[in-house]
Amino acid sequence: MRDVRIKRKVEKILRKYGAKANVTVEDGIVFIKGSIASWQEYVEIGKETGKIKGVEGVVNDLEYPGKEKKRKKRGKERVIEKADVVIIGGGVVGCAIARELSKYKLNVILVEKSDDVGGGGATKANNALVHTGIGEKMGTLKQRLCVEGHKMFRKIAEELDVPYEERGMWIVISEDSIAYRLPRILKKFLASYIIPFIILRRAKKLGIEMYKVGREELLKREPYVTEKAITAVFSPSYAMTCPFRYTIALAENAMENGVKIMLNTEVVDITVENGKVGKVITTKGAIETKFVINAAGLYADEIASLAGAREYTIHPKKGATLIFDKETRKFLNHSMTLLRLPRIEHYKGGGIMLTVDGNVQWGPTIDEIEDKEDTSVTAEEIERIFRTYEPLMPKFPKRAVIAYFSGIRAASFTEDFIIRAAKGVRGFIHVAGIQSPGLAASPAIAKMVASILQQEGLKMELKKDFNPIRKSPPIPREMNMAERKKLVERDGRYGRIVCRCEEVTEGEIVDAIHSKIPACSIDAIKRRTRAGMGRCQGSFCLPHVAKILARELNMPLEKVKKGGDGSELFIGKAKCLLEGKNES
Amino acid sequence: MKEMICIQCPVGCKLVVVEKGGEIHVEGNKCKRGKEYAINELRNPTRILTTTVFIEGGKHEMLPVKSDREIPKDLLHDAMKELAGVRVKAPVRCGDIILKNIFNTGANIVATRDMGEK
Amino acid sequence: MKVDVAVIGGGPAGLAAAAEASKEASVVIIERNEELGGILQQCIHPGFGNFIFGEMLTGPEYATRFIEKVRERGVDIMLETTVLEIGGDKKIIASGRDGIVEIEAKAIILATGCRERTRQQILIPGTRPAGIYTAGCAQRLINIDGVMPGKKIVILGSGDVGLIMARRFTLEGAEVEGVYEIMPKPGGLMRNVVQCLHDFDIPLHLRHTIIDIKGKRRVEGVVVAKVDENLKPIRGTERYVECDCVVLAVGLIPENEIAKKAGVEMDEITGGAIVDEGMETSVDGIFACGNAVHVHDLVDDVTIEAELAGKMAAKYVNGMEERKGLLKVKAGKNVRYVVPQMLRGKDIETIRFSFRVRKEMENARVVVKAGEEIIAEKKERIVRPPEMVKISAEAKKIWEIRKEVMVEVEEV
Repeated sequence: MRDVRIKRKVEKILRKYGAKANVTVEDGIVFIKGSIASWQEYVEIGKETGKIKGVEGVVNDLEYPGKEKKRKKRGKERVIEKADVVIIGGGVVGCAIARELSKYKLNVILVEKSDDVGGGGATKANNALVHTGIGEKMGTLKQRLCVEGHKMFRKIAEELDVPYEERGMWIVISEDSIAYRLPRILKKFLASYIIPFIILRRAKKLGIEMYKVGREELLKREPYVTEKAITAVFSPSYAMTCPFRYTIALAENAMENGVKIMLNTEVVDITVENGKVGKVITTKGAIETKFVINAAGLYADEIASLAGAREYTIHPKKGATLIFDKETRKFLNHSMTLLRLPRIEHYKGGGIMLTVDGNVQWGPTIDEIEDKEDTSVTAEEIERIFRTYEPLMPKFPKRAVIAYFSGIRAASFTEDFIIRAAKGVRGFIHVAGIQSPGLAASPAIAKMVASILQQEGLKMELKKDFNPIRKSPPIPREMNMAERKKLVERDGRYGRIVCRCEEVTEGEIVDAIHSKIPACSIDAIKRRTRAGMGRCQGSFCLPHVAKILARELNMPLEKVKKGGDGSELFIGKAKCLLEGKNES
Repeated sequence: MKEMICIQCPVGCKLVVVEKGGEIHVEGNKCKRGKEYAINELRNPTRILTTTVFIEGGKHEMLPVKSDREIPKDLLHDAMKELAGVRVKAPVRCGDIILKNIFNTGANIVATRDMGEK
Repeated sequence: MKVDVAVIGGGPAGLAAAAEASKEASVVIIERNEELGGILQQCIHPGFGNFIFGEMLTGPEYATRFIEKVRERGVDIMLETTVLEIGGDKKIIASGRDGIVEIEAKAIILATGCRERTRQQILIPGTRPAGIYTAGCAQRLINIDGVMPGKKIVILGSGDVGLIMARRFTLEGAEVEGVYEIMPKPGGLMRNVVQCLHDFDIPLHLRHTIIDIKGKRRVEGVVVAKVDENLKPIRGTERYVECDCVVLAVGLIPENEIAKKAGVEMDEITGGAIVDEGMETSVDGIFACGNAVHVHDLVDDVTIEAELAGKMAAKYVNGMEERKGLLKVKAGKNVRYVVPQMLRGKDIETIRFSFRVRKEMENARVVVKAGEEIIAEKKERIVRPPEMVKISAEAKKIWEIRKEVMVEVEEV
């Protein structure tokens, strides 16, 4: 009955857009096939369909002009490993699941396509906030897991020796907050009483501590916030972490507890025998496994397709962020966001946020994009970020930008996390559609996946010797002087500073290169040590870091990569263009 | 006819140089040095060559060198190719001759710094 | 460790200051690199020392002369050592391979040089692939580390650094597709435009900038466009240029992290410390010289300034510093900034004012005024923003009048 109702509704949507298409609905999964005039309409149809009550997934196969055909890659069929569980995807979610499963007596293998954990997708471009859950749509799975995950985060961060700070967040309500055409006095009333009341009520329901302050108090605590602020709600437990170090620590701890991590390993096929997963075929060989966890982010839909478990299509949403010089840190005491009504669905609006390392960030934006790999930042996006966040803090020195980047959210058309066993294929677990608040929710996602595995019949026995503690390699600039002196005396490499903007020493870079998950590119070193993240963005330290990489990995300097295949920094040795040879 | 900018002083006069019947006419120069410069540039343009050569066992990969006098401009590219194959051994002192009398120009290629061993 | 004068930075400024100061005081140079010489070691082209030595030396040759000088004078040298901070009592904490050291100095000379403006700071849109380098970084990679950053290069910025690199890349066999300059005139010396661009037929595109960088893992191309008087890209003038390397020569910024943390007052326009006629900053006993004070075009000027700083620091240490008062120095008509920004009436007969003009002017008259009175003037055939102008004036006259000093330039 549900499927029939849904089908009718989808057909209505398709008629509205004039699509030449047909719909089938199976157990809440909507399959749309046909063609539509434009990519934009393709996205709108998908989103509208995703909103229909009871829809558990939208597989949007509509063709539009310019749609790229997915290429099938070649893999190696020879069985190289046997596992109980294969996790596909080494981003923050895959690594969190790996660590969780490493608590059990299981043979777990994580495969990651890129050359580093957290190196291939959304993990390396999120804004590092551990959201409380207040900003998510009520009743969604992502909200529930965010609230749970946030509560678990501090303990895990301590166990993993990664930064975690509850710096708090202001939700500022100003004259610019309400876009509706209403008399000013009504807007003020809404801003001063109704809206804060609604937020606080929701916070209470979710068990999140928040309180309201008036304009005077806000300006006292945030002297640079806009004068147009009317009131604000503060969330003291809103937190931030370092997504890179967290992801790496999860992976290292998982490895410590027996998980095997295979980098540069891309999944090209999944065999299904008698309705159950059999083998995961990768570019390195085949892995026989009982269970597959699909945590493949932007490519989760394609991975699901390989297993014949199509239940959703990922539509990428780009988010661009500007990073400011640390000297701008003094302009705010806590992160802040400006409430804007009407709200854009499934978007918390971004804001002016602090980071654990002392930078300030503006953003992120949100835009539907066609290309899953489009991480460019356009002139228009930069302009838009300035326009959007300047009203929140007009006196902020906008010229002090030191970096900007884009991340791509792996959104499903239902705009919620899809974490469940596949409907038609046994042993295949979806962990898809993870957009914000994926980072905050990651500990809870991992626990949920473990319990799904149990429900699906995997024998899960806890290890007695699971070691939750992972220690970070030494970070001299964070040590007190006495400790630091001792460290440098022990090993002089911790005294030689290579990245002067971020005070990163040779010792830390060497540690990163020889760590459990070795950093073998400039970007991998950057994510682990912060070398190159300062105001000079590597214009001073790049040659030195590259030389250390070449030395430690015993490779020629000219082969050092920035990150990933084809990202060689140099085209060859000096003189290579004069000798008629061209090494690239 | 050739157009050029004189570089003898910061003014940078724009010169027009014409060779007619063995004689060179220069226009646009504000002083005598401009004429000298133009004649030289037309008849026999020369440049100092500065580049690097590979050094083995040295503190750095490359050793900076220069020609100790100007060499014909059109030999620069060939000189670069010639020097690409040179390998010097550390240690080296500033002024050491790396390549004597390059292409018979009378100019030597010399090291422009000391470089010790690694 | 205790020392009279600690010089932070062992490039041309630090070397000259240390050599001079060592005549009358004990000196240590704290240098973060593995060798002395600073940026000179990678500036392998000639153009250094025309005034100081009467020779056109290459950067490394110039450095060699001063490195020998400081060695001869027995100056203490700490290499691969980075200053972390300067405490309130001029106590320096530095980190090096041999440990974290504390240096108690009676006087400090900041010779920390400058950094390069980055792609991000000028907000060039696009992707972030491998193959984007600031000119100085590319220069180091080619000249010291022996690797080629690319084979088809687009250079943004026609200041001397960009021009020099256009030639360097070309000599090494790369193709420089063009040098793009956002202003209507080239930013570097004319001799460099001729010997780096004209010599190699490298096109110079004035009033142009880069508006997009394309390429996923490695640079694949850029989009360039013409700009209007407000430096904004003009629609319809966009052009895609295939290349594998983008080199940015878009400005140098004095490096003053340590100075700021030590409470030294900064000049917003130069980006460097405010100094007096003896190169002393607003903090007693802390001096500054070289590119850290203001970006220079000639190393000879750096040497002159640094030797003055060294001399005065030694005087300070030996209790022989004199001060008569405090006068401000202002940048007048057509002048962007002047160094020194203040005068304290030190024991210096002739004060050397260094400044830059706002625009190019022919037949210019440079004037130094004390109050309303002209106390020094000279004529220049041509003055340009890329070429620092110097004019000297008698200190005695200035202190007789005891009024604010102004440097201005007008077209005659």
